Amino acid sequence: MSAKRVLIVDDAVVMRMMIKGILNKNGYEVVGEAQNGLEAVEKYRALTPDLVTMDMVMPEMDGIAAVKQIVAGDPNARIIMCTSMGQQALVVEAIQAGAKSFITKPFQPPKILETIQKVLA
Amino acid sequence: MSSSGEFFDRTEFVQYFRDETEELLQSIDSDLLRLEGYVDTKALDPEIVNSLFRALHTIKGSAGMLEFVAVQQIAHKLENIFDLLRKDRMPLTEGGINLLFEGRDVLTALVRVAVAGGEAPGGVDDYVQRLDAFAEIYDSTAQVIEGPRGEADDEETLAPVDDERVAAFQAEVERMLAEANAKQPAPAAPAVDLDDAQAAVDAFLSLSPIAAVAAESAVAPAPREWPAQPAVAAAPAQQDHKRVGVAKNQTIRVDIERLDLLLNLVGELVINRTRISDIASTLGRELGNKGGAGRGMAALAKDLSESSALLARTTNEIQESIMKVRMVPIGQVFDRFPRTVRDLAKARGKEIRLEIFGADTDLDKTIVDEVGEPLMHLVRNCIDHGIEAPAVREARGKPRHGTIKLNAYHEGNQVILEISDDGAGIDLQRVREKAIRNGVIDENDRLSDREIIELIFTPGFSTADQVTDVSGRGVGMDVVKKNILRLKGVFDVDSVQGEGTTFTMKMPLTLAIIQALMVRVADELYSIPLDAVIESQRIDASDLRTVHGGEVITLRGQVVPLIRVGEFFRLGAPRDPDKVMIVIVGLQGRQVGLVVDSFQGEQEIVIKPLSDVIGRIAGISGATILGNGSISLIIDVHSLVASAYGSGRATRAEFSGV
Repeated sequence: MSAKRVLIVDDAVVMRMMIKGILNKNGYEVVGEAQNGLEAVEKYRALTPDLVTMDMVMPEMDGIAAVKQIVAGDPNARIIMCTSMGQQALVVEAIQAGAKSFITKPFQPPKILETIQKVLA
Repeated sequence: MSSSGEFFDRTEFVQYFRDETEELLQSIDSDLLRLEGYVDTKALDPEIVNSLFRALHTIKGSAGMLEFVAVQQIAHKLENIFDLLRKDRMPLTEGGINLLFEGRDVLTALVRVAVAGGEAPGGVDDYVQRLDAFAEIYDSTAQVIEGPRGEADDEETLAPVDDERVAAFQAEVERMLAEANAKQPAPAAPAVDLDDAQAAVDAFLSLSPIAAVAAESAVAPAPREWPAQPAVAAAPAQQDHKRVGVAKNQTIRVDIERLDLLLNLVGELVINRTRISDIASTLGRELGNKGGAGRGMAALAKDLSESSALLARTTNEIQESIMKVRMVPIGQVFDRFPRTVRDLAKARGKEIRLEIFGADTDLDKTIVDEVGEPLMHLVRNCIDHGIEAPAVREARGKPRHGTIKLNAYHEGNQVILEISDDGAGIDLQRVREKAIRNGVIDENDRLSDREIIELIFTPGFSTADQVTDVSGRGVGMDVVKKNILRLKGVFDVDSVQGEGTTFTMKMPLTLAIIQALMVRVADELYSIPLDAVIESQRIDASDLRTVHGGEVITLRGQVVPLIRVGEFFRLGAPRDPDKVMIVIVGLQGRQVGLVVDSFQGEQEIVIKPLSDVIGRIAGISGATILGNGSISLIIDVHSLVASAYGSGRATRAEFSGV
């Protein structure tokens, strides 16, 4: 079985590098990175990844708006929100918009992997 | 606490964190400056507040991952303020913006400590208390109006992540989801009706202006201006924000040391290229002389000469490309000034407008890094000594607010940096009196205006009556000038009393490779940087005159002191009784004639600094390796000009540049 292809969306380079590191070490293929919602929507269409990790707070277009657009184009899109503690209301909104699950920052690597496995199952 | 250790090489991430946070702090600074324009107004620009909120959010998140708790905490508290501002729960007041500016500085200090270690900055706890007290006023009202904000208070958000808290968060989300679903049927239930899905795809495609094309291929790239559905937090469409947008993905960060190494290697390549050209032309000549060389040999020599020409071209291109890679915009330095000007103007009770031009002018990174401090000193000088107090300005018929202009532009092979103010100008009378008191000049010395202005570069010189904490701190204009000269720049001041002062710096584009005039002195080849050379002349020995024990010539009515290079370096070469070869070099309007044995043409040279072992040699600024492998010393024009004018031949008041 080929490696699952992941698109990482976050405006913070540190976050992108970290998630990328965790995924690469655990047999996932990071096919792209986006640093705002607009880029995320474009890259989703171009790359058709198996999974997206999506930050909430980003310039140009925020995470929830990006989820809405991606899901509108691909109702089966698998998107995991990356959220800070205290953003419950936003997480709810993102899930209603079609995100499949969420992880909280600061990440615990095992938690990320667990969540991803669940969503991909 | 978190188990990230086993997953990460931390130092690498700390570097990313440092670079990214530095950029963000800079953008926070300029956003705050823009925001300050909205103090006490009703409608804030949401774009600015959102941008500030996001920057702090990003810093908070990244600091959290790296367990920089202090940074995380302050970033969180500041983020909270911007959250209040953007939700209109807090008015923007003068006190508030000052607190935010202070917070940005506290954050900067904490980031520095987190990244580089060292002592924690003082006053952080005090600041946190003041910030909390400030936020509480608005936060508590908000809670009265809207009820408690759920589980999310500061302490909880920043507590170390443990499973319990994550579970609580998760439970809260699920509870809210269930609540929401109870109100309306789940829109995102996993089972998707196929018709609905098709409708969604259609809707999706119809949004795109290239719907017809997109319909054929679902993966067609979307155009940039793809209409966004209403976002939750108003997402600004355009960002005029320093951070590079999408293009950032096309950029890599390279350690400057690697570039230096590359540049050095290319330097070697340039030297060898010159050498091969030499060999090729010598070979051609030799074969030509012998005449009898076989056809094969002649053809080979021609090939060698052709490919060496090609090699020369490619080498030049590589060299130029690397130079360009090392170039960065001066804006990196200019960006720091708006904040400084704002703070200092406030502290001095002055009204100052800062205008910046040419921020995208590129120059060598080394120069950009080094030029910041002298520039900052000059800007401070303009604020402290140049721009008058508003009342004084009005009395003089000037606008209340003074203007400081920063300007950068290319001129030939140089970059010109200008700092000007429309303030009081340099008070020549006071400078003169001060210089007499300091014993720098004599009461009877008659100095031109220009010469008086130059007096401010004397070490320890200051006309300020009071020593302020801004510019009167013992770091004088002499140090500024010295720093500029060290970067091979030329520094100039122009001042009109009552109208203002302009400082001009001419900096080389790069420090590593220069054009040089090669001269021979007592069998040694010396290099003279071409940008300092005005002309070279062959004159009769009878035209030389002696003034005050020094040789001079008169050139177009101007008396130019001479330095015999051979004697300066004690090479013991005999003087030519009839003819003298002179290279006129000039710096800031001052000229010196260097007497050499012969001119050897112009050449591009790669500057190699003299090693510390040799130490500093008066009159020599470095060395270069020539095509034939021999070494040529580079003449330090600054110190020669200074020595010519410093040793009593010219006006005593003339300031020696080094």
